[in-house]
Amino acid sequence: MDFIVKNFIELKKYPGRVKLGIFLFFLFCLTSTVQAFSYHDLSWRPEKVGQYEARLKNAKADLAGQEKISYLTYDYKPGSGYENSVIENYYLSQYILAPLIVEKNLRNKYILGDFPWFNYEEILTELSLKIVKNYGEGLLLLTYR
Amino acid sequence: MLLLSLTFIIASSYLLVKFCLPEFVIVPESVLVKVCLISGLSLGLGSLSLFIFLSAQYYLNWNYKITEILFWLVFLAIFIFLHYRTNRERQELAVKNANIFIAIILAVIFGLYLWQSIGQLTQSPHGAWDAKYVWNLKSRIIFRDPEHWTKIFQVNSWAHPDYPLLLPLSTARVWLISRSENQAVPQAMGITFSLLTVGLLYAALAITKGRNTGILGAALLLSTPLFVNLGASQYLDIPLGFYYLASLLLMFIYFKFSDYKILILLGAFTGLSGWAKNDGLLFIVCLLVSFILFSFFKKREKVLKELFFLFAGLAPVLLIIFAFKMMAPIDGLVGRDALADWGKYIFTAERYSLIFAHFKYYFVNFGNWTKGFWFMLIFLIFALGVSRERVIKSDFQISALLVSLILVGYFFVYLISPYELYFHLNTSLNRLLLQIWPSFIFLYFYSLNEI
Repeated sequence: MDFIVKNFIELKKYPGRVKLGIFLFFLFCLTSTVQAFSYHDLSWRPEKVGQYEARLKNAKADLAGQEKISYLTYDYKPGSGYENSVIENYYLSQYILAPLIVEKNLRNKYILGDFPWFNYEEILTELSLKIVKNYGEGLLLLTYR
Repeated sequence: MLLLSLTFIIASSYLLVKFCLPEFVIVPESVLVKVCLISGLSLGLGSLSLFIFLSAQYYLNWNYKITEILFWLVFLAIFIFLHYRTNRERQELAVKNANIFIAIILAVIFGLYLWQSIGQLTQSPHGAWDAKYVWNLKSRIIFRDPEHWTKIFQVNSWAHPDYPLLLPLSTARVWLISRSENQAVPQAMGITFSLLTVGLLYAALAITKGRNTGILGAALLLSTPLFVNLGASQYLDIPLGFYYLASLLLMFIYFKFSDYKILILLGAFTGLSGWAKNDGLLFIVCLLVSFILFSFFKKREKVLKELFFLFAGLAPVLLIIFAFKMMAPIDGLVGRDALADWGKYIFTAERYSLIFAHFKYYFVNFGNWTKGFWFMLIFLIFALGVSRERVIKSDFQISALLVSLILVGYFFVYLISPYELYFHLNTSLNRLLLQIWPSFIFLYFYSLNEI
């Protein structure tokens, strides 16, 4: 108890402006800390790695012996308008399939087609691709015809 | 095996720190300074040694493990020898006691920090964008295929194949030795560096200005939302901030004790900042320039000797960075095409105004603070008063010069950036400012009167 009283007296001895400065300082620190709980960033979005790991599980096993593959999705044409919405899926694929190198081009023998939202038939016809394996939910292992 | 490996690294770092630093009287803060420095050094040396082993093509077999043990044994033997050759007196430290009420507030802020960090790690175990797609991706490639680890140079440009490997190798090292890709390891790295930074900042201020000031500094850092967020997001700006702060503190210790051995350690920590991220290379240049400029203006004659000792610690790390850069693709900033554009960029007035505007914006809105935080910091200057005796000291002046040079350096980097400038500024400037934030807090409180 004496210890607390002593510390309190010590705090009281500070000049008024120092006490006000310390009080304001800690008030701002505490409000910023509390406010940080509501701070939203990319990291606060729902974790997509788990979902994509499950999605790519079978493809990963099939591609185990490969060095590099290509990656194809809706943004295959420049200016398609899908660039921002699908780019993270590409990075996720690379993250999950590592050490396999996933290239965003069509130069490799095998191509991972990732079309989770809608039809891909037209794209495959346009690019002369055929399906080697269909993993479902728009995930395809492709090669050239 | 993991334990044995860690023991060797920690023991070597301990002896290196003990050899280079003066013997302080044992108080919790002097121990904390050493613990933080030894930890940062251990992580850096561990990743450097793995890079040497991987480059020398020692893989995950007995050769690797035996070579590693031999490597660290030799390292230990050298420092045990050096250590016992030096007998030193313990240096007194007058650490002023903390007020219990101020300490309680720090404990509350620290508790909230932990709560928030753990919450974020649980929600996002793989970290945020850069952590996943740059650092942890490289750790995965190195761990999953160590024989072909150079595949990290083939990944997409977003993953910055040219970025140095301190964090990816530190993570991969633990995975390789434990033979398990445990996601808790990169998470622990992120939190460890945050805690090391807070611990070092507190201890550095406590031994120079007293425990109350140390608490204010630690509270300011812990309640910076961006610091908390990026630490738990496993971003490398936090480790880089730690190495900057450690270098700054070592500079202060050098100017207090004028022992050249401290400069060896300063060189090593400065080098490790360059091994953490390319931004750290700018720090190395700024530190050397600040030493030379300061000595020139103050007419100090021993600068050559100082630079010699600094290079003794810096050169081994720089050599490894150089070897790495020889293997990695050339960075977009210094590629041949980019170099050709430098002249054009430097004479474009719009670039200056855009960069100035962004610097202003990110200064004012730095850290995702509660509005008005800068006014509070300015008010605190009036409340506590500036310590004139401190700000005229060489340690403060050279450190302030260093931080200013880094800011000028950042400005210049943006000026010559080959990337889309608006995007580049908006995606990186707040993180660059966060890198120097712990050092800034140290200088800020160092320059104020004690409480």
